Amino acid sequence: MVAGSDAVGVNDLVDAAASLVREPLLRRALLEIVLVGALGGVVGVHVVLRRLPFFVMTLSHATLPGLVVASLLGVSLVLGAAVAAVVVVGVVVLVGVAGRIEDTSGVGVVLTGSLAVGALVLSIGQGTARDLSAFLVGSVVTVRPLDVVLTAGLGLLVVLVLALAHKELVLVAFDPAAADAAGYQRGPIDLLLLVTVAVTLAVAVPAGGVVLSVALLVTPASAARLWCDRVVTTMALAATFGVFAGVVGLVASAAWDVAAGAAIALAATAVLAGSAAIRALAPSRGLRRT
Amino acid sequence: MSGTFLAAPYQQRALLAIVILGVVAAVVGVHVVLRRMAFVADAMSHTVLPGVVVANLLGGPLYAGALVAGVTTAMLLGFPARARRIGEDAAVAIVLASFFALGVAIVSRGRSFATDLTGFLFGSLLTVDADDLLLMGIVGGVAIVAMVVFHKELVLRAFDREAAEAIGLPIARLDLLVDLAVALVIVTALRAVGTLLAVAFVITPAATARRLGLAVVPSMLVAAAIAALCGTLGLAIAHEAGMRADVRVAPGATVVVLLTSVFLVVAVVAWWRDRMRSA
Repeated sequence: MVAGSDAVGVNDLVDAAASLVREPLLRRALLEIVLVGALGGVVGVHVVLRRLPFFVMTLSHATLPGLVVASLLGVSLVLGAAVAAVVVVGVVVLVGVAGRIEDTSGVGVVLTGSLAVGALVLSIGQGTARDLSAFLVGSVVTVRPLDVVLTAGLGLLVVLVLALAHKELVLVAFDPAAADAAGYQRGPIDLLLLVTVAVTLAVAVPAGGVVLSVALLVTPASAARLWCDRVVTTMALAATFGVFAGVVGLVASAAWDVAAGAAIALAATAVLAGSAAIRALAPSRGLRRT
Repeated sequence: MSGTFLAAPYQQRALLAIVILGVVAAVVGVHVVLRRMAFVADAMSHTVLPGVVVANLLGGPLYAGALVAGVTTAMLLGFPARARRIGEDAAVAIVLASFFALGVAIVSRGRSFATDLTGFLFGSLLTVDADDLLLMGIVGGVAIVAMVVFHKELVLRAFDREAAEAIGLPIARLDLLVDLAVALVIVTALRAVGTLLAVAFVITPAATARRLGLAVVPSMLVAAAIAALCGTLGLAIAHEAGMRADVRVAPGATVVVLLTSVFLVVAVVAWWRDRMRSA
């Protein structure tokens, strides 16, 4: 915890990086955060393009009751989060069909209400403050092998779906009127995207936490948008940023004894801040094809 | 039932805390809901964390830390995103996650990480003392006075932005005033229900009252009444569950679950009524 003679703590960082490769538990955490970081980056580009950050924030908070119930029942956290997220998507779609989502306060109610339901169920189930904070800020070091397998499998599925529907998703994002004119059904395309985001969040929250997962879905994608214009390139860069933030955060967490979820979120913010600073100082027009 | 649970002084203080918070949050909350700022309020309930954590570390009053962080983020969130390529919504989400992460990072170095963190985020309704109540009254009072003094301007800006601009009202400063008032509500709520649940008191009762189709001031009164009612009921439920069934139930979370349930019922009824009318 204390840096010892090395004031900057570089030795700690090197030790921590080595232990990530050496110790099986940390190696599993490393694999999980690489998968989640890459997936969050890719899906995050759609989240940013379609102005869905509020939705992601609400959805990720809404997974808390799912996580709590899953942990009380002893089943996979990913499963619990997925069920909760899909329920919320269902409600959003129902309300959307009913045609009155211009009122954003309903979303805010769902966000805080979910936290309260989660905390309440946890207190009834004799859960501890330790459990609650692990759900809120994530606990990548304690992910189970099954969770990593689920992350890999569902992540692959999400990327596959995004690839197959890429043309439609991008068209709806950039030019909804043209999509309508071309005869595309926007409803199913939007629903597909929402479900994809829900599944991504479900695999992200056990590692990234209910509050901090938004950093994995919004921050790397926002940083990548500063560098690229083409959607596929942005996705590749966002995935790289996500993996980078995940690994750096995990190493920093092990070296300096801070919560992993927080270190990862801060690493992602640092990537964004660095990108913004470089782009502001060196506005080379050549990279932007606007 | 309620006669027995209110016999204990700590229960009376808890109820008083909920009532103070309910009234303050109702007055501010109606303005938040009117101008669709629910997400900014949500964000602020997360961004005050580093202030609270640092104040705790330095041994200073938590209120002061929350206030400094709240005012800082109110200023930050008030500015529309400077970089065009990062949308305003993405910027709010990023600020929220970064500040929260900073607070978690600091508190996670401590020995009682989990207890401290959940204490800040969810409060401790049954340990509120007389000093806390006094501070809640003062901080909340400031927020109410600000809302009352600028009531006419705030309502005009909420309902008719163009008209407000035309007569020369400072729109940005009025919005900042509401943001600052939200920060004061979160400070008020800190000890009782914590920063995360504070925002439920701001948004949920106000949104419920608005769905009833009430005007501004009646909305505030009804929102405060809903909070007081759910507060009493929630405390009673938590107490009875502990006494009779020996089930530990978090009282703050119970109150918020009740607030949310009332909102859901009213929202469904309002939606159904609208459909009947338009059919």
